[in-house]
Amino acid sequence: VAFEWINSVNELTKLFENSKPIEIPKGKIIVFEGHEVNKIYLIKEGYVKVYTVVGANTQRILFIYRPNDVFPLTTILSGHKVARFYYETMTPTTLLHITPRQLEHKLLNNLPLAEEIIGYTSYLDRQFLERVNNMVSNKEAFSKLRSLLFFLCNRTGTNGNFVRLDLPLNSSVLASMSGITTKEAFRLLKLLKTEKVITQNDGFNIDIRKLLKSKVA
Amino acid sequence: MNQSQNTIQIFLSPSGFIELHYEGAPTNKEIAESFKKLSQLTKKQSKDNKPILLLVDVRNVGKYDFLSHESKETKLAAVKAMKETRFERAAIFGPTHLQVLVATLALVTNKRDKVRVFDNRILASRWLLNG
Repeated sequence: VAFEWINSVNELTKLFENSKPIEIPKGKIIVFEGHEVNKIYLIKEGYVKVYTVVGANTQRILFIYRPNDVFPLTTILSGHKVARFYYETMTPTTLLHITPRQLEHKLLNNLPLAEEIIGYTSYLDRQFLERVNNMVSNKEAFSKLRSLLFFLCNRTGTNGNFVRLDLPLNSSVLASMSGITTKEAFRLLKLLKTEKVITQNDGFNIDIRKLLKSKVA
Repeated sequence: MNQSQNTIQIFLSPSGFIELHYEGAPTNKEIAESFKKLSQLTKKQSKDNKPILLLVDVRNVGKYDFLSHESKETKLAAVKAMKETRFERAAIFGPTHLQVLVATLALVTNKRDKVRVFDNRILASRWLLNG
C-alpha cells in the first residue's frame, strides 16, 4: 500500500481530538442511504461496512472502513450532499465525530489539511473503484471470492504472508460481499480450508501465497 | 514536433458564462496561463458591467496523482486563482474526486458560497443562473 493511514497520526485525525467517543453495537446503521449527511466520523475501534440494498434481505457490500478511517468525507465534499449508501457497524465500534461546519472551520486557510484530505479521499476512491471493478469484471465465483479476500486482507488485515482478519466472516457474509450465492461461498470456503489457504481457529487466517496459487473451482 | 494531448479552452459562452474546459493532463505552466487568460476575461466582463459567472468543465481531465509535488503546485495555483479572481459564482462539474478537490480548496479560500461542484453541466448551469 503506497499511502498508508493506519496508525499514522495526521492532521485529519487530530480534528477529532476533542470529540467524545460513542460506543456502537454491532449491526447498527450509522448513515442511511438518501439521508443528508450531518456528521463526519472517525473509527477508533471496529469496522463499518458500506452497502447498497439489491433485493429482499440482500445487500451488496461495497467497502469496509477500518480503524483510523474517516467517513463519509466524499459525500460531504462532493456535490452529492446525501449519502449514496448505507453505513453499518460490522463489529462493536467506537466512533468519534465532528460536524461538517467544524471541518469547514478547520480548513479555512489550511492548505496542508486540505492536501491531506484530498490525498486521503483520492486513496479511498481508488480502492473503492478497484473493488467495484473487480466485482463487475470477475465472472467466475472463485475469482470473485479471491478478489474479495485480497480486498479484505488489504483493508482489514495484518501485514505479511499470513493475514489475520478480525471480521465476523462466514459463507453468508462472504457471499453477500462477493456477489455469489451462499451455497457457492460455502463450497469454495470448504475447499480453501481443505487446501489450508484459510484456517479458522481464533479468527479468520489467510495464507496469501497459497491464495495466489490456488486454483480451486 | 509532438503535439500536446492536453487542451485548455477559455471562452465566453452565449449564456454569458466564462467557460473553462480542461482536458488531458495540463501542466502547471498551462494551468497558470489559463488563470491569466481567465483574469483578462473577468476584467472584460466587469468593464461591460456583466456578472462574472464561471462554468468549469473537468470531465475529461486525465489521471491525476494527488500526492505528487506537481499536484501541490497546481493546488497552490488554484488557491491563488480562487483568492485573486473576482467572480460572482463558479460552478465546476466532473468526476467525484475532482469535485472533492475543488470543494476542499473552496473551503480553504473561504469561497464556499461562491464555488459549487456538480455531477453534470445542466445542474451547474442552473445554479449559475439562479444562484
